[in-house]
Amino acid sequence: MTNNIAGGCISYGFNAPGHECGKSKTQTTFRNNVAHSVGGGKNGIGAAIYPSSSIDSKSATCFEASHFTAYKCVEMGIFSSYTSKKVIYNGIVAIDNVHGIAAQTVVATEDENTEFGSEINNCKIFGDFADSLDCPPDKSFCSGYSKCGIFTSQNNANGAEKYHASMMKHLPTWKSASGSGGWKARAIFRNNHFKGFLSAT
Amino acid sequence: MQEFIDTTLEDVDGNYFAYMTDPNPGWANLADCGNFVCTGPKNTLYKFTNNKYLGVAPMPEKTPSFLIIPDVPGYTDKFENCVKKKEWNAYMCVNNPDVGMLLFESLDEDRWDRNVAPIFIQNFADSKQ
Repeated sequence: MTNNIAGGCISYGFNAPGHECGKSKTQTTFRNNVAHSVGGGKNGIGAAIYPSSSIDSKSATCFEASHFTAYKCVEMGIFSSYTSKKVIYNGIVAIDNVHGIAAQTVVATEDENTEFGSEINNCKIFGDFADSLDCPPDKSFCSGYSKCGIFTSQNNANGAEKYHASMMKHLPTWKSASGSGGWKARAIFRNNHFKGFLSAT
Repeated sequence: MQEFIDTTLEDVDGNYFAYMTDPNPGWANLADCGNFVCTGPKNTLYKFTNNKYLGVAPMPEKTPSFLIIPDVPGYTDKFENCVKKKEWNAYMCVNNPDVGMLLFESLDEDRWDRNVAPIFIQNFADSKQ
């Protein structure tokens, strides 16, 4: 899937598979696509990237997304929270998205003590632009959002939780949407460029 | 722990660089953390190494390497080389290699059903208090 634009979408711009880790320079699984103005429904995500065993048999160990651009999405420009030991974003451009970009992993409960996590590398993340032409001079139909560049990574152990009492499943201390924080999980952000965060909106 | 390496910050205002969210008091319920609010957001560490700055910088010193830890009253104010950043709801620590994350876990079979909290740890040999 290459060179597509998804704009004005409800919930998701793209729901796309990740590619083999380390192949960002040559991959054509999902490349040079753009999502913008995504919102409404339950979500507003530019691209949700999932591990696909039909694309890469090793996707349960690692999958990657690269060379994608998202702007003005009401949640994350790019998002992943699927079962794999590692997710990598490489060369993503995110502009003026409310929740920035988010890379998260989930492993089975029995893997909570294994090494897993996320990497966001070589990405450019822009905040707002004073000279944006999207709004009319009187701002009559523009809504201001409190925005962030990074929706910080949660790398959780989850699984079926059949051995857990449901009422206490988030113990001991971490509050997250699903499961508990992994004991050896790492969230690494390498060589990223943040620009234009001069206000909260 | 979130590790930022070789980050470039261009036109990033110090008032909007970071904000460490407090735990939601509503999490103190049986479905989440029992009688205590879940304290995960207060047990976080952001580590920045080898930052580069362009234009407006979030701190005038343009510090290349530092840590951010949440503001925990009565605790983080005792850390050496850490300065409170009210706008971040956090402390910024420079040249403090001793700050890290200590993780420990009960191995009991019923660890998901039984909470032991709060836990206080004291190091009498090096304690500043």
